[in-house]
Amino acid sequence: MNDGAHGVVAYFDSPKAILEAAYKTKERGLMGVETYTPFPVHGMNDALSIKFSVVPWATFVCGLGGFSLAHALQIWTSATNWPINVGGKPFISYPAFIPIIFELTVLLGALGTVAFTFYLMGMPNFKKPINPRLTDDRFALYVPFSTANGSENSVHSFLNGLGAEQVSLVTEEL
Amino acid sequence: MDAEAISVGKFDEKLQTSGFTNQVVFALIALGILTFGIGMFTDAERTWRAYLLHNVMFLGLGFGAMLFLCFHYLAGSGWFVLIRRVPEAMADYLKMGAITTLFLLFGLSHIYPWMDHDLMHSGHFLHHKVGYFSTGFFIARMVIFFAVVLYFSSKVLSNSLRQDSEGDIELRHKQKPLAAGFLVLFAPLFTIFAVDVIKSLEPKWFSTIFGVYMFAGFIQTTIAVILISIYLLKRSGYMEYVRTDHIHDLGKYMFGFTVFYAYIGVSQYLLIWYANLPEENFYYVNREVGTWPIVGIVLIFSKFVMPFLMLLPRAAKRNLPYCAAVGTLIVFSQWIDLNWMIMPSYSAKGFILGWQDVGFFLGFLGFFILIVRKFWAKNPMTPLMDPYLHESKKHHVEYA
Repeated sequence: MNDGAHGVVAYFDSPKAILEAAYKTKERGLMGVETYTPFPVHGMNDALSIKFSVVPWATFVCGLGGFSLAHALQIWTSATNWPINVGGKPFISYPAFIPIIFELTVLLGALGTVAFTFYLMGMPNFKKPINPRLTDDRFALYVPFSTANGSENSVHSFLNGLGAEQVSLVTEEL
Repeated sequence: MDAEAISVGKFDEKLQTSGFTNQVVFALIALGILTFGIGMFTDAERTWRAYLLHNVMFLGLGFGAMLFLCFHYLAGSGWFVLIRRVPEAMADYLKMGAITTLFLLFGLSHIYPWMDHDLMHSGHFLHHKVGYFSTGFFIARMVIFFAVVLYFSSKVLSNSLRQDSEGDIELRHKQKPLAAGFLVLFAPLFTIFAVDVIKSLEPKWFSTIFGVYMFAGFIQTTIAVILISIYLLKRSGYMEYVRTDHIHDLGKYMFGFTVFYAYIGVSQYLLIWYANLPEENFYYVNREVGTWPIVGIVLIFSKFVMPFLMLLPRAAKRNLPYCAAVGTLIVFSQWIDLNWMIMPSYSAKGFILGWQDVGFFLGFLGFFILIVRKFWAKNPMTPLMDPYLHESKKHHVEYA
C-alpha cells in the first residue's frame, strides 16, 4: 500500500449509518477507532467503548478553587486589609459573602471546564481539516493501521463492506 | 445493535392490592383521626398546628406533581411518559388535600394570630393588614384557589386517563393549553395561598419571595417522592421498563431543585439580614432563640449541602436505590423546614416533637397512600395510548 499512510477513513452520509458502522468495528475488535461528526451522535460513546470523561473532575476542582478563593479574597479585604464597620455587622459576615462565593465558584468552575476541555481536545488547532464537509453533512470513521487491526487490505475491504460512500487512505497528520 | 434500546415489560399492568396493606392504610388513617380527637380535648392549639404542618406537607406533593405534569406537557416532553402515572397519582391527592385543607377553617382561631382583634389593632403594620386578614376574605381566597387547582388537575388527569381507552391523540394536544393556563394562574394564586396558610402565622412579617420559597421546597420534595415511589414499585416488580436514563433525568431534577431551593432560601435571608428592618428581621431573630438555631443549621445541611454533594457525581443520579435514599433525606428535611416555618411562633423556646406530630404524619401518610394506591390499582401503570410513548421507551431520539 501507499507509503506514509497511517490509517483509513470511511465517509458516511447519515448519523445512523456511522453508528451502525461503529458498532460493527467494535464487533470485529478493531482498536483505536475514531469518528468525526458535525454534531454529537447519541450512542457513539457505547459504540466506541469510550469511558466516562474526566472533565467533571476538572469542573469540581476548579469550582472548589473558586469557592476557596472567594473566601480568602473576602476575608482578607473585609477583615484584615481594610476593615470597615457596615451597619454594626461583623467584619466576617457570612450572608454577605455567599453571593460572591457562589459567583466565583461558578465562574472558575465554568472557565476551568472550558480550558480543560480545550486542553483534552488539543485546541487550538490550526491544521487544515482533511475534509471540510465533516463540519457540515459528512460523517467520518477512522481506523489506524496496527498489528492488532490486521493487514491494511483487510481493514480497507472491511470498511468498504460497511456501506461507506467513500474509503480513502490518510497520510495527513490528524 | 443495542439490545437495551427499547424498554420492555408489562405496560398495561395495574397495581395488585392486598387486604393486609388495606388494613395498614386504614389503621394509619384511624390513627390520624384518633390523634385529632384526643388532641382537641387536650391541647387544641398544639393539635391544630401539627395538623396544619402535616396537611401542608402532603398537599405540597399534590401541587408539585401537578406542576411536574404541566411543565412537561407544555414543553411537549416525551421522555416522562413512562413514569407519568406516578406524578398523576400524586396529583390525584389534591382533591383529598383540598378537603383536609378546607377543614382548617374550623380551627382558624386556634391557629392564626390575625383572628385576634386586639393584636391586629396594636401596631401600624398590623392595622393596615386588618382588611386583608378578615375571615370572610380568607375563606373566599382559599375556595377560589382550590376551585382553580381542582378544575385544572381533574381536567389534566381525566384527559390522560380517557386516552387509555379512547386512544385519541388530540387528548394529548389538549393538555398543552391546560398546562399553560394552570402555570400562569398557579404562580400568583399559590403565592397568595402560601402567604395565607403559612406566612400569616406571623402577620406582621413581610417577605415577597415567600411563595417561591414554599414552591421550591414542594417541588424538590415531589421529585424525591417520585423517585422513592418508583423505587418501591420496582422493588415489588412493577415498572420494570423504567430505565436508568429515566432515573438519571429525575436525579438531575432532584439535584437542580435542591440548588434552586438553596438559592431562594439565601435570597430571602440575605435581603432581610442586609436591610435589617425591624418589621422583617424579627422573623429570623425569633429563630435564633432556644434550640431553633440548631434546627436552622440542620436544615442548611440536610436540605442543601448533603443532597448537593451526594447527587453531584453522574453515577449517583443513575442509581435508583441511592436516589431513593437521598430522596428520603429530602423528605425529612422538608418536614424540618415546615417546622422551622410554622413552629417558632407557637413554641418560642425551641423545637418540639409531640405525639401529635407522629399521629398526624402517619394519618396524612395513610390518606396519601390510600389515594395513590387506588389510582394505580384502577389505571394501567403506563399511559398506553400516548403518542410519545415510543419515544419514552427509547428515551432518546432515533436517527432516521
